[in-house]
Amino acid sequence: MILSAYEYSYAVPSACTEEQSEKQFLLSHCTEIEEDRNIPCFFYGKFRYSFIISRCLSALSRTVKSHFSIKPEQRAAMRDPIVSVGSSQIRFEGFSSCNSVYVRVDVQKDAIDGEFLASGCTNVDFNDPIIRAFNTVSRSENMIMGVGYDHLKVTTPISSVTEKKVSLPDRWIKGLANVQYYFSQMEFAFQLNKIQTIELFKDLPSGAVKSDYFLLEDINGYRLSPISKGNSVRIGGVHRLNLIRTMIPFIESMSVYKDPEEQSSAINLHFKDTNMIFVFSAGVYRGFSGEGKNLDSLTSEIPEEWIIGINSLFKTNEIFNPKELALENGITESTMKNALASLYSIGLLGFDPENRRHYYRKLPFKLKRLLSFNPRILKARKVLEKEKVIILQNDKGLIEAEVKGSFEVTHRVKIEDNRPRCTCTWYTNHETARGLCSHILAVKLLLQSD
Amino acid sequence: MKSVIIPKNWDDLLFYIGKAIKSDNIWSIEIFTEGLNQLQNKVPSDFSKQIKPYRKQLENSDYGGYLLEFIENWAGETKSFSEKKDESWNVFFRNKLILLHRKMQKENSLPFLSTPSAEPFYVDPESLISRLEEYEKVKEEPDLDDLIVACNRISEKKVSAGLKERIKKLKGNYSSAIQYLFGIQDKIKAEKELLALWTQCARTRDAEAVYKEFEKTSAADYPSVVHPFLPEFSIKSGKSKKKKEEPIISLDHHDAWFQGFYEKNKEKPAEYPKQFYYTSSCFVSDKSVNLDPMYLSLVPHYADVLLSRFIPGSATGNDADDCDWVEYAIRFIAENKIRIHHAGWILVGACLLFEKKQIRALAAEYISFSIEEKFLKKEYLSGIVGKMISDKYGPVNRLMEYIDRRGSSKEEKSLHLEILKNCIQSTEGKELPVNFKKLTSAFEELSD
Repeated sequence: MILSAYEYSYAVPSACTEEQSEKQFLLSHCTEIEEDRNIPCFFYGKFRYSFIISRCLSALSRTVKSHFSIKPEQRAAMRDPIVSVGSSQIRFEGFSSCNSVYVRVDVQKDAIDGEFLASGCTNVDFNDPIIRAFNTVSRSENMIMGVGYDHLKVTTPISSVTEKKVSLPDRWIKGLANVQYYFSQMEFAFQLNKIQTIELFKDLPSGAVKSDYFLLEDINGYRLSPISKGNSVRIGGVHRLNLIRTMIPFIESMSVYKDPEEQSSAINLHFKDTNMIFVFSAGVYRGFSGEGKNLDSLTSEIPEEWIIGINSLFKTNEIFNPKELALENGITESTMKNALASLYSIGLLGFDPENRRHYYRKLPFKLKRLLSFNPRILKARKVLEKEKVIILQNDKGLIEAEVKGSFEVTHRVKIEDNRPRCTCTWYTNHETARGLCSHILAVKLLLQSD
Repeated sequence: MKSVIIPKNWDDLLFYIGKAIKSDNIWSIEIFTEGLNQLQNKVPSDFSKQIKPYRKQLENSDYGGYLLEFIENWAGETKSFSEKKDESWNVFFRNKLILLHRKMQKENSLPFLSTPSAEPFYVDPESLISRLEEYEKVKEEPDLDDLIVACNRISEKKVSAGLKERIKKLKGNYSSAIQYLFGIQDKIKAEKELLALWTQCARTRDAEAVYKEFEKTSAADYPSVVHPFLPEFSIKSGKSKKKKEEPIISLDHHDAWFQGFYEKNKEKPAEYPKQFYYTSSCFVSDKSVNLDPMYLSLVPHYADVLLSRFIPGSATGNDADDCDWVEYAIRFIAENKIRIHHAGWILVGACLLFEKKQIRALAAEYISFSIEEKFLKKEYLSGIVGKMISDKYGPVNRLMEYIDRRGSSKEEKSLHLEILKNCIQSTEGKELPVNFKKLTSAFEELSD
């Protein structure tokens, strides 16, 4: 794995202080975006249901530390979550080391009693003492949190410290941008109450499982089965669900979502005014970073001024309604579809499954970095630059082309009634389930440029 | 059942190579072979250039290497294809490619009889009869092996009156056997040349019957030919693959028969034809079992003999290879809803006690399916599991996981009770397995 040149560092580590029946968590933050880096504190205040939220954050830290397919030497020492603060909500999100599980804790307005000092999206330092402290918050204790340090608000002196530097793998950042698009395409499948969820998790194998499992409902209730049935939700690498197991005793209910093409699945754990969402890729060897379902829409780029405009219009966690935005600005449906894909790919949008709404947030990485994370579209552009595409036919919904590949191999691309096919290995392995291959993309780019 | 679509033009056939390489369904390579057969006159001149991107992918796939060898030779100037015998090949697929080569040399694009026409790998009666009619129309004799597999893969045994009339009009020497298969006539002809066809049509028609007509034939002692395949099994302490002393299962007489068959034929192991697919004789090699993912798709109506080759010697076989094969077999019958009749239940019983949870879950799913479809052999399966528990093939706790399965139907509970009863009876006078008390209390609870 190639580690990104990006290293984030914290001037001081996060710390937890304890006073009588109160724990104060001060989370040190950092971001690659300069104006946000200079914000001392985004939020300071109390969480209601502190026991539940602290357990959610602990489960989130376990998830980001977990790995299901990579070798020990490929693991980065630690990866901290990203926090989006704004519109009276706080969201913590991250990925497993192998990039196959996305996790997010959405703390809603009614669970928060505090001040939103600034809105934005930033990395926070989840060090070992902080994680241990999350596990010790009791039901009777208050939990105070600061995202950043506001010296006016800090009631206890910050103990001292060495700067912490963390290298972040590219795939982790890429996955963050990609996963939201997948999530937005998912359909609601099941809602289980607490008892049903507890029963369901009794079926869960504890060891690694190579073949797929299916979550289904039949006359006996909800269960996990190695055999697919009509209404089932495919869950590859089902042992990854063990990440959730410890949270089950605390939930009110659980929702399950499925990708229409069975390429991923999601579970939303509902607590009082807080949700914890897990999105699973199709299998443990498949990270979200390699997905590219939205690449087709990226063949037409959105102008940079759009991004600047959107950035000035919306605040972090604010609802982003593409239909409204299109109507107000006279944008066509197809342009908006392309714009949405572009915004997802550069990390400007998140998705809230419960209300089926997009929300605005800007990942704490430079735009340039995020734009470089679509290797297939970059490769397609390179292919075009080298004039390697020959259109053989373009008539009545039928496009045939030859695209020169490596090792003197010429690939054949055929797009018939919007159904693209190619002779390359990527297409053989994934067809269009993980997005279009670079050869089909190159043909599409060429046709759009003509 | 959904119809299987054969590629209709060159482009569809070209892109189908990728689909066949990647497909979990190994028989999809047969769909490509059929497409190539039917489109042999429409292959473009730059054929070699067009398939070049698939070269490496084919080399790395299960059957792709054979196919690549075939199409490259055919695309070359000589259009030759070596018919040399090679034991490592899947005998059925190898024969299919030899047939294809001969057909292409003669510019004969008559369809293969055994190409699946109904998903996943079945041949519907209408397609089989239409294909045979095409052969008869041009006076071309069908390949016997191709015909046998087509009959083994039949999707329905009941046919319409109209189709019955068409079957009666078939003229080939196979006509009586096909009529017997579809219940149009009841007299078996144990003729030497078509013995393999007759024995398999008979077993497909009635899995439970005893066919005395075959007692005086050369195939009389082949498993499943005269009698249904109900082998005795024993569990004795032995060394597993991990060189660990543990209870090992063996099908005594049947294993000896296979060994004998192999010994008798080892001088000519790849000789073809070995068309007795139901006896699994064509799958015998010096490794005693030479399994291949395609084989089970050749015997969907009577997979019991072949399935017996997948029974795990030990229930603690967590070695990747063993485990994969066991899972493959139980998953195959569960996913494709294959009905088993006899020895297949020994595999299901062994899977119910196997170390890997997903294999146990697959066995439980299959049992539920057999109850829904009313083909469970309750007493037989209960006896098998009872013997396995009493001889300590698998631990009591794994069985209890199945017994405690939530939401079990009335019929399943009745099976559970029968299994527990058999476990208790089988252990009489023997040293009780660990945790046996759990089993007896569950029996008492269920008996109330």
